[in-house]
Amino acid sequence: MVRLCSSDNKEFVVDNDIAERSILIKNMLGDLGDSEATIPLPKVSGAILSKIIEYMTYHRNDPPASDDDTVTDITAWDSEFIKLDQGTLFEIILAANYMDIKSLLDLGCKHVADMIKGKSVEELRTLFSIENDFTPEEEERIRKENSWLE
Amino acid sequence: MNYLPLDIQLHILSFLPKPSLIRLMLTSEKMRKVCLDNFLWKEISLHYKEDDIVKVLINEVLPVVNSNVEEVYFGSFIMGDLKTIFHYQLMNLKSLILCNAASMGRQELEQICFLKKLITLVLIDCPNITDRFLELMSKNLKHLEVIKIITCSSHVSDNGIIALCTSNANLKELALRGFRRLTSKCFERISSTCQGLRKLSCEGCFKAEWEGFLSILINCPNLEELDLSYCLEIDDRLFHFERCNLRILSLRGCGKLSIPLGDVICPTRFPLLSYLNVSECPLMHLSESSLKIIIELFGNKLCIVS
Repeated sequence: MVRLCSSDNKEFVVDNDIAERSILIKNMLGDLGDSEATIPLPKVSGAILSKIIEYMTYHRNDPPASDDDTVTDITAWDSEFIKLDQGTLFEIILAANYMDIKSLLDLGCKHVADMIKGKSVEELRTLFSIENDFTPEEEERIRKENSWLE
Repeated sequence: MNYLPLDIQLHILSFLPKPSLIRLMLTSEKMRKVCLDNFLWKEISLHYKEDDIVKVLINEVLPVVNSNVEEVYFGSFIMGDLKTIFHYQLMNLKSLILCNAASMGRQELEQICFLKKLITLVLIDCPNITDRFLELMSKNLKHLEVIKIITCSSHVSDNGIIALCTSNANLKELALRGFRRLTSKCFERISSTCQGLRKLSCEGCFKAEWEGFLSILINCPNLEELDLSYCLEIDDRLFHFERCNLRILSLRGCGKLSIPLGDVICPTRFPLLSYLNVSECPLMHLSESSLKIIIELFGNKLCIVS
């Protein structure tokens, strides 16, 4: 069993094979040579860590990820799991990146990409609260040259 | 989105089709900088005609990323735009696939000749190709490994194709569909210069006789696929060889073939054959029982379409 400690000092006790879905944790455990250690995860909050443990638990028996993994279809469980509000989604992506869980990073990034697909420029600004920081002249120029349709 | 680290933003954007990436690029100056990262534009695929997207691609994207583009695929397309696309020297382009090249005139075609690093060239529906163009191309392009020109005009003769193939000896795949004037001479030359050929498709090369294709079968030991559909002049002498490594062979519509199939199709001659198309061959006498015997000889590994 491994003890994981979140940024807000919440502790989670999980089986080693689950925790080692995270390459960061796997490497730390290897370095420590002590499977009973407490692993601090100062960049991940308890709420996010608990979601991530849910993901790692479901995927505990997956074959280890290889670098040349081609894009695979998203399973029904994964697509349910990743239906999150935007704030949580981005935090999960950041945590998956930090904890080095490639399949979860890809799942999150693909989900954001799916949110972008098929949307107009204005819809995208609203969706991600993107501030239109083009100067009026620049915007006019782009519009004129490209007869850019909304 | 902008709060995520740049490498994660780029990872997200790498999953986007180009029209979506272009729309996102137009949301803000910050977003534009991210979306114009060279890494995202190695490959550009546009499947449908979307005029606004094409204009932004030409005016805003290509001038910035031109030297990083390695692969271009255009589905249906409008010609006026293609002219401008080639003005931005895509000097590192390795693969060019144009599915609707019907309105490509001489000038646009000549632009292709300057893409010196091209390895793959696919032109579908391209009636304006001439010998002169192919000869110009052969002077400039020397690294082609895949050439597919589908539904071409009847202007092209042996000379153009011979020039192109002799200067691209590393050719692995060649598809020439509807080249009605090509004769055996052309394929004999190809067989002596491009011995590494793996796939050859000559659908509708009406005039080419058996000699050329026999030289290909003898001289190109790596040949895996041969499509001779509607090569109307081929006769039984095509089979005057001992052994080949073909996996796929189509003789569809070869109306002059009359040899009993069992005499020529056997595992010693075609040890790797898994697909054979002999449909629309009226003189072949293909009875159910004779086909069954052949399939059994191959141990059920062979699929015959008749």
